[in-house]
Amino acid sequence: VRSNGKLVVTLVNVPQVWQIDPTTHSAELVHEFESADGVLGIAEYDSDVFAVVSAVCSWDTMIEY
Amino acid sequence: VGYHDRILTLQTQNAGNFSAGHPTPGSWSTWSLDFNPTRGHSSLASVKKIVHIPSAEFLNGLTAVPTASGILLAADPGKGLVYRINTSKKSWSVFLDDPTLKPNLTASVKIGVNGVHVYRDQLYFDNTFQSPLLARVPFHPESAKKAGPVEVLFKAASFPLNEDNGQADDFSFDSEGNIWLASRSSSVVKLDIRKKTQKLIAGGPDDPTLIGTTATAFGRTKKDKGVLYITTNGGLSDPSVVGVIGGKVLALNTKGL
Repeated sequence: VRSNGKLVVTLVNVPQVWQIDPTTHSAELVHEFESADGVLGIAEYDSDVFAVVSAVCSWDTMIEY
Repeated sequence: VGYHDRILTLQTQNAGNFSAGHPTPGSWSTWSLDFNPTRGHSSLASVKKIVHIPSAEFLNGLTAVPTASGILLAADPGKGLVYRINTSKKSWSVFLDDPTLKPNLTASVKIGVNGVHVYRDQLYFDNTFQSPLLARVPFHPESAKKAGPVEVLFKAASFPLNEDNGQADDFSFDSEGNIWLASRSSSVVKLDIRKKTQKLIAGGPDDPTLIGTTATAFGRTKKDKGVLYITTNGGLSDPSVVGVIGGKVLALNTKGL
């Protein structure tokens, strides 16, 4: 959650980070990573500066159910 | 159960049936997203690589150490480690290697430590598939290095579990020091550390609304103080209930809960 009230979320199976405005129910793309398959973990470590992790992760090949 | 309202559904790729990703060891990097406006840039945030961690098997939870400028702690659920990352020196080391962090090798997904959060000079962490549910370890506030033994706070979950999906994902603290856990079994659970109680707040293993809960965070403005935002993976981790329906962000008013 940013200090301005907007939410920053990572997608685990798409290499994207989105910003969400909970008051207007709208979302905008913040960043799409190249050569990665997913983004996890988010923490604000300086004023309005967030860290995330990216990885190559084969979400589409595993069938268990 | 309080009121919850779907804010938004993000369309995730529906790629069939799967319960876990297959991360490539060595492919994990940490990045910074700087939302402070910079001259000449129209994008929402400027993105820079912090550091690549070649030995990481899987990186998941991340937390900042407010008393140690620029230090992050990162969970590796695959190896069962917590790394300490120095964002200004772009370096990393092992912060904690402990049995409480390790994956359950008989579980459907081999992941251990998941959520990590700093609260009053201690690192709190959970384990996805085995005991403990929640533990903490003290650290020196300035160096952010371990300063004592791990203390187990909750050995096991007392809320309903879907055994294939485990007990714990990410969590957050409220202003009174209670933990609001996104369980791996599609629910939100309030953990009171002083009273040692676990209270199921919303959802459960078959709940279609909260299917695939992954994380929680409290609002920071006057208007949404006490509102808990909850993210889901839309069934990616458990397609057996409603298939894979796209990740969601939900809001829960925690007043009185």
